Amino acid sequence: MNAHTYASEEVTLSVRETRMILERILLTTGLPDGFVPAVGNSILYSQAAKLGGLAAFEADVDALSKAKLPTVSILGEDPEGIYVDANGNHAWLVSNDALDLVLARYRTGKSGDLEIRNALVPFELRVMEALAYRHGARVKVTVSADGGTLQVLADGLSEPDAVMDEALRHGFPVPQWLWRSLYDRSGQALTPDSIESRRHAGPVMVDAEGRVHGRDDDDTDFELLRGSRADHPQAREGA
Amino acid sequence: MTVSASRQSTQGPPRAREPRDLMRVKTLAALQPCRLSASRALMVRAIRERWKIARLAFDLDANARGSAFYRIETPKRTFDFPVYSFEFSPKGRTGRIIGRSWDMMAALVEGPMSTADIMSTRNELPKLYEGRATPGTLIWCRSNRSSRAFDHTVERLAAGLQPNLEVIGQVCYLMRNTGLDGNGTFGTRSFRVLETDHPLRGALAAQMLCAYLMRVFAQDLVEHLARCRSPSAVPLSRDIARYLGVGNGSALGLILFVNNHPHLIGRWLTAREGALAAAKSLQVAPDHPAVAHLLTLLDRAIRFRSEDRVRYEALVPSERLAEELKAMRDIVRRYVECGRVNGQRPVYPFATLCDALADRVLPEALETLHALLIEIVPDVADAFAEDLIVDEETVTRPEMPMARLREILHRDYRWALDTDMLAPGARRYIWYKSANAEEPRRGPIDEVPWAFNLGLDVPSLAQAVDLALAEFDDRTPVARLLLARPDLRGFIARVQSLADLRYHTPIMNIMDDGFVPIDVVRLMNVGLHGIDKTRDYLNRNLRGVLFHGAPLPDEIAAGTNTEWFWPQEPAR
Repeated sequence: MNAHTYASEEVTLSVRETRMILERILLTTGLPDGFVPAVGNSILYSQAAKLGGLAAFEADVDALSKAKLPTVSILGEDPEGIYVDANGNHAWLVSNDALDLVLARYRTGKSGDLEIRNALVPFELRVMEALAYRHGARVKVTVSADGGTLQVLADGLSEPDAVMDEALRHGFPVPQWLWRSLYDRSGQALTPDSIESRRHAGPVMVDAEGRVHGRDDDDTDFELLRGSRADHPQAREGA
Repeated sequence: MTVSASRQSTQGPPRAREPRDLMRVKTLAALQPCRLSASRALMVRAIRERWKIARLAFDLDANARGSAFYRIETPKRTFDFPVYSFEFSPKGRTGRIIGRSWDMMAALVEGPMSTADIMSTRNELPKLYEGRATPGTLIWCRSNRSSRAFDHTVERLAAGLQPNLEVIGQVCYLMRNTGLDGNGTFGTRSFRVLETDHPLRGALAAQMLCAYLMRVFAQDLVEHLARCRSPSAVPLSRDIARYLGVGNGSALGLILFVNNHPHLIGRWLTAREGALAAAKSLQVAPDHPAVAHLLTLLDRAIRFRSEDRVRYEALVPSERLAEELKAMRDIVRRYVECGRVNGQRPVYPFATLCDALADRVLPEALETLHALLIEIVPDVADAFAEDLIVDEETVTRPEMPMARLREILHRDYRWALDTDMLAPGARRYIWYKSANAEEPRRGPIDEVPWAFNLGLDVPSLAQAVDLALAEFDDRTPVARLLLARPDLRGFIARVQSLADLRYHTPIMNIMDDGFVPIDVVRLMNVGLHGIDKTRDYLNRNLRGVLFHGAPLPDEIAAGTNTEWFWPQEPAR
């Protein structure tokens, strides 16, 4: 997987490629593993909704590494809605929780309104309009200086996630430099190669004394396992 | 050795097995190729629809350098398969994805390809990781020769002779798949949005068609190289051509795949168990054609196992399975003769047969019988196969009361909650990918303490969710738990999204030093892919043969040779 040179200076990334890069980079920010896919979705849907998306992520990735968890604090709740403080977190970090809170209210017969304050990059709270498609819901986000309001417009919709469907069909066109920058950074989630590490996979293994363990009916080039060709950068990914 | 199985034949119509039985890793590892395995399901469709595979170009030199071009015509779509072939080189060669040397690369593309797309694929594909697929590309693939069988076959054909079964019978293929990339990788199409009439929309169908075409190319290549060596060379006999499949090597990546594709695992196992339950539910008299059919299939399985020349390391040898299958055949014969199974006159004879054998035979033998029973209900199985369109998105249900989440957790993850994660070795291993070729690896944490773990630690996560749930009132919505524990969000979404599936998660602690990776690789390779004669290496790698005995392209086009699997060894 890598920057491409097909036909133009723009590369169209698939959802799968985009997710992979986002989640790898997010793993390196110190966010909890179990939180990474949700934050990755926020960025992916931001890209799909033509908000800041990947370019903003490339610029703001450090803000995500300064997450304060839990992402939001509940300030209060009344019949009119629920009020939360984003604790100065980036909008991508708080969007999933905010959406869950308001949908939980709405689906239990209460009003579908939420007010959020003290969010970083509040413009990106609009990603919740796109993320709501995942839940079969429609929401409206109104952005303010340091936050915004969220209102559920509809719920229980049975049609597929139109945002994801569009992304799967057409991908995300991005400048090659951006893809290259993100791709290179994502490599930090991979483990540096070593002879010891190479013993952690494969049908045959060469131990520290040079003994071969396992059967070789594969015409293996053992130089690959002994280390004289420890690195070959052209090889990057496989099944 | 005993196995668990549903024993409901005396209590009403047979049902699918309980998850606590089927999802044991040793049971999943014993599943055998069946009509629902991806390679077999592809052949069912291709034969039924009489797909036409034509070689439109073959421009290779005497050292195998050059290109070829194949076209596949289906009733609804045309696909192209441009192939780029390279001279054999021993340098950088290994079955692992860290290898750098491939004997062929190819692309499966929705066709007919334009001249521009052919040119682009020719330029981009050899770059592999630096390349980019054209928009209609489904798969990029590559394969290597099995040198001994390949070279032997070329030599023999050049000498006007067929290859020796003693040599080719040890692997049963000429070339082995070393990589299939699609579904968004390198810019290939996302399978989830393939059109409803797309013939490769089903799970793993595009990958399997690529593998079949590798087999076609490999056979064309040996014949070409033999002709280059000698004008008196002969082609492969049709029996041997049919006998030779395409090789496949798989390893630790499939454990991560199983973690990441619970819907596919769940849907496929549901389909398999559903077809099996349908077969077991047949109320067949001893003279019913289905009983005779089962006997014919058992004969085929016994012969296949008896003729097997492959050497296995830890897996059950074929001769032992052949003996157990013979004992099964005797029981079925007795049913034909006297109408009794295990001393009783059964309402559901096939179910009673399975129940009678469950505690007496190897799991692999019982699963062979199950696979054969599925052949008895082809229409049911094919309908299940056609319906295997899978979406792996997981979404939270924030309004769900905590009590309901706890109920699901305790129902579906009881085994995980009961796993002792404080036991010695329970957390010893870590799963990671190497910077070099992103190879999935598994090693003791203390040997790679800097690695980011990619393995799904189901027991630890389930226990953590259970503990966290105790902090909340039963009626509180899950949204509050998601907010309090962002580290558990992904797992909670998974638990909620899979709640309606019975068979999504194998019962295994993949972090434990007692975990045997090859068991899960077998589930994928043998069960889902339909690979035969799988050999094990260091308990973590598996190699075997796909399309062993599959019809040749002209037989597919004629709609013949429908019951092709587990072939008889060709006559000498």
